[in-house]
Amino acid sequence: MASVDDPARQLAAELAVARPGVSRRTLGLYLFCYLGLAPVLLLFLYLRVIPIVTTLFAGFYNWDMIRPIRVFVGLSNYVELLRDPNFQNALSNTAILAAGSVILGTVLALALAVTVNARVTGAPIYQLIYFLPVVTPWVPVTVVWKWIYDARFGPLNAALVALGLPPQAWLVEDTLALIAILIVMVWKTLGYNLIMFLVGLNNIPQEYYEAAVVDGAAGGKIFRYITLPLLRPMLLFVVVISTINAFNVFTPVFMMTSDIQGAAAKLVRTLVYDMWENGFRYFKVGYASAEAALLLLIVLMLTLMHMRLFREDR
Amino acid sequence: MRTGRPRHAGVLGLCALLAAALLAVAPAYGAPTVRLNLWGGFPEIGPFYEKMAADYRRANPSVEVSILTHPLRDFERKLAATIPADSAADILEISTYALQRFIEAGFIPPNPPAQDTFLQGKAFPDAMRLINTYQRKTYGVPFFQGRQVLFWNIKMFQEAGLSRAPQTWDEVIEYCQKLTRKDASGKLTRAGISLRLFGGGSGVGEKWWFWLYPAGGTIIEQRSGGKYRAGYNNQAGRDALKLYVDLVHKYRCDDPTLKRDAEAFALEQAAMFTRESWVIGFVRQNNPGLLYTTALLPRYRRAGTIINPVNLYVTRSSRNAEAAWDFVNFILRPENQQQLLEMTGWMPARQDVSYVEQIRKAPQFRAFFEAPEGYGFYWYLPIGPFDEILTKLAARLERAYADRSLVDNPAGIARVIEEMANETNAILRRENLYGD
Amino acid sequence: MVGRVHYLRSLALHMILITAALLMLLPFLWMLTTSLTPSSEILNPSLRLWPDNPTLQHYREVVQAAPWLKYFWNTLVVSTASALAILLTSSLAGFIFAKYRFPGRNLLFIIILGTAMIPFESYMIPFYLQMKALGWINTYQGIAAPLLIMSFGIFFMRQSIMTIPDELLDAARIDGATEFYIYRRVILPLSKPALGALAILAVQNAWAFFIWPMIVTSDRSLFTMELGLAMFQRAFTVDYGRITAGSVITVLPVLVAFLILRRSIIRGVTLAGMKG
Repeated sequence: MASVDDPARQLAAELAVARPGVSRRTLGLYLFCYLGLAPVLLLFLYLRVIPIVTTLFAGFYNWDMIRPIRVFVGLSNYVELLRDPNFQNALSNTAILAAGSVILGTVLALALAVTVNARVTGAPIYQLIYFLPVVTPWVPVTVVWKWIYDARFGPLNAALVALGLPPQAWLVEDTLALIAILIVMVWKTLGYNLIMFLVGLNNIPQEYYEAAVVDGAAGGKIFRYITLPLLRPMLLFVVVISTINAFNVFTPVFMMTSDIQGAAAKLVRTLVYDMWENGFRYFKVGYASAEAALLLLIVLMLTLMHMRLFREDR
Repeated sequence: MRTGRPRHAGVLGLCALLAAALLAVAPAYGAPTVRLNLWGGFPEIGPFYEKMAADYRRANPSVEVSILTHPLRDFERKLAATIPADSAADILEISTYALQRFIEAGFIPPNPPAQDTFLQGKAFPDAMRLINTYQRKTYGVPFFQGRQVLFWNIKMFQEAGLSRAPQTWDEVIEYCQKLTRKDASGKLTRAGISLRLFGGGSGVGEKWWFWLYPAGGTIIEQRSGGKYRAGYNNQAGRDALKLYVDLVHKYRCDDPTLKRDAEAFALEQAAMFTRESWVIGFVRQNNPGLLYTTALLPRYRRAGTIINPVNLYVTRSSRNAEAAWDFVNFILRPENQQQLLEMTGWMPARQDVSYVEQIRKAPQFRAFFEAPEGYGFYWYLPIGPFDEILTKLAARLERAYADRSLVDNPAGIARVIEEMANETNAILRRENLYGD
Repeated sequence: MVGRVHYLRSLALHMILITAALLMLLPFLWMLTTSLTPSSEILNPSLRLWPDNPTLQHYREVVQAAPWLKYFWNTLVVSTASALAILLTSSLAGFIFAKYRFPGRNLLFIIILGTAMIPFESYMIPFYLQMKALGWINTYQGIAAPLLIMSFGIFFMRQSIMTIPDELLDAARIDGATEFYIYRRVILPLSKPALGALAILAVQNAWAFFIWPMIVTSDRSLFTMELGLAMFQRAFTVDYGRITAGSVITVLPVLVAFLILRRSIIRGVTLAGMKG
């Protein structure tokens, strides 16, 4: 398929502005693209797109998974959802967790990244330590945090008492339980965000800083007018990934706050947990699917919003 | 030309091959001619099942039973996915109410004649036969049961100058104040009574029921023509909620930051609480030295306890239904029912077996086998949405328990009860089960 | 004077970094400490950093309680298969999305990324029915199926391959290389660090997966480490000594692998961000 005497430049130009049906050469490239993508796309189709689309469709039906009967109910699942106090609770909890983890996770990671980047000795060791929670699987992480938060025997309250502060009802009182989950989420993802910001910082050419120093700009100003704007693509990446992760949070909630026989726990209901309960406990698959669709819609809108926010040129 | 070394193509191909090979390593198929699977929702019963499987195999070398137990909530989720797909185990251990929807949908075949006769006979309490009947057919064989009693810590009671368990609501209020301990700052260090104040799932609703029933109410009451409605939108419901609110906020007998339930009792953070007999096994595991015993649930306008049979079912997808039922029969032999009580603490379902020996060894079992004159039994109604109703009710109760403004506020309590009942009735209406 | 200021500044920076590092490490330390503390001491609320009488009792009990080696093997099988499949699909698709323009490219790319916005748990039921239709319930294939592709992997490989100069590809074309030859002989060798990082990411992802294995397995002999630990934790809530010992056992292989491969992991993760 390769015609040997095509000059490289022409080829590059063709690749850059390939229009359908331009030449046999381009068609050949298309063929390669589609053939190469075919197995991957088929896998995606079967493992992701089909079950997701099935789910989105199920949102318009009253389907209980047990009986084959599916009754088309239009938007009534959605209407019921918006009135459902459990859903409202789940939505507000998830929104708080997402906002909290995105803001805290970004700000803290950025602060640490700037610090690590300030040419301190031992920077790789710090990076390594901050990255440890990222690679640790969720289940053991939640096991140990549940113990840390234990209101009676946990080390966190012991530490508070040692500092002369009153012990707190972690994982018991509504707000504190949310905060507790939030802390774990930030702890788990901080290292990842940090590494991303370090990359972003390293990508900023040194000349900008030198020029700024020559112009007499101080530290705060340099950060405000050089670092932040040039870091915008990376900020976008981190914020989008954190938002998606936060909206999909399930394992820590499931492991730390759902009840176990003989040891009740205070539930922090999140969207995915609520979905799981509606689908797998009450067999309201249509209803749970509508919830999944709303979740997707929310995440999609937030992502577009972030893109707008961070891409905007000043 | 700057290209890679040729071995990369080979590495790539090798990767693909290896991936395929790894995935093809299917689980090995064993030698026995009949393989049975049994799934259960109580990990603490696992060792008992393993023993049963081993004992059974000695007599029937061709049958191998493999056991899988999950914590209950996870188990219920798993059934939700596997039963409709006909990929669940041959034998399932589960309570009637949790399986009711699947029974109604035909995934669980009715009992064969032998098991039907067994269940109709005198081996089990009448209530179990009623609970396990759907449209005139019986489903599943009761294996053990959840009955609630009051657990109380003898040492703590003695320290408070009390010699027996509270028998009435007034005594509960009086005793629990004597039993509660506070530290210098006024913070509770021990609950007079550990109440189920929160916890995902229906548990909060179920535990409330144990106070609602003696007050004269119930969660759902049956109306004529197979219809139902909320059974607590009345004085009984308001009394039961008031009792909780008072115990927490007025008399401060319990505090959300304390450990809950069996955990609290075993860790000596609670002087009393209500639970099923498995706690006896649990305490043996976690605090063998604990000095405690049991009593019947306190009475108010009436007295009684819940009866919740956990049954063994054979699924319609089982390819060895006959062998499966034979194993179920084996588990239900009198000596194995006794062994269940001894090994796990769970109260066996059969009433035609003597447990004198087990009660002698652990007197805490006694209250479970007592049923004085007029002591009523109630149970989860076998209707599909019961669990959903109870769970949603639980979420509202949880909020009410935390609401200090409900103390001495009859109007507030009435409003909360009214709202809960409206939700319950709305779910019943949705399922076409509501009747006033 | 300047030296002194510099010294103070550096000290302050280190103080911040060390505090943060301690906060990151403490949970791991608690996990280890608790797992070594005798049951009788665990329930004394105190700020102990190391038990007075360390014991391996919990480990002995945990090792007996479940076939961890079998779980480890299962996890290894599933995560290796997952990583290999993800490497193959992500590098090929990433290459095509990075270096070619063709009708439908953006749409396909957005669809692939879009599927990552909805959590697997929400479409697990239809997925389970598909697996049932394939006869993959209770098999390694069934556990690994959702892990055979990764949207982020394609994105990641695309980002990394975009940094490879087009001139290299053009040079190969002039020499008469086919596009697939370029993929094999130019792109793959040059993507080794990224592939390494992606492999680790994929293994780690597969390692942390437990809700799906719980639903799809019906046999303890197919349990993964995470599932085994989750079931263990939910069955022995009160016994913190044992569940933390179980946690240490499951975390250990991950941490050891991470410490050995730390360079390529961090380098790889960095690569993903290279082109923003």
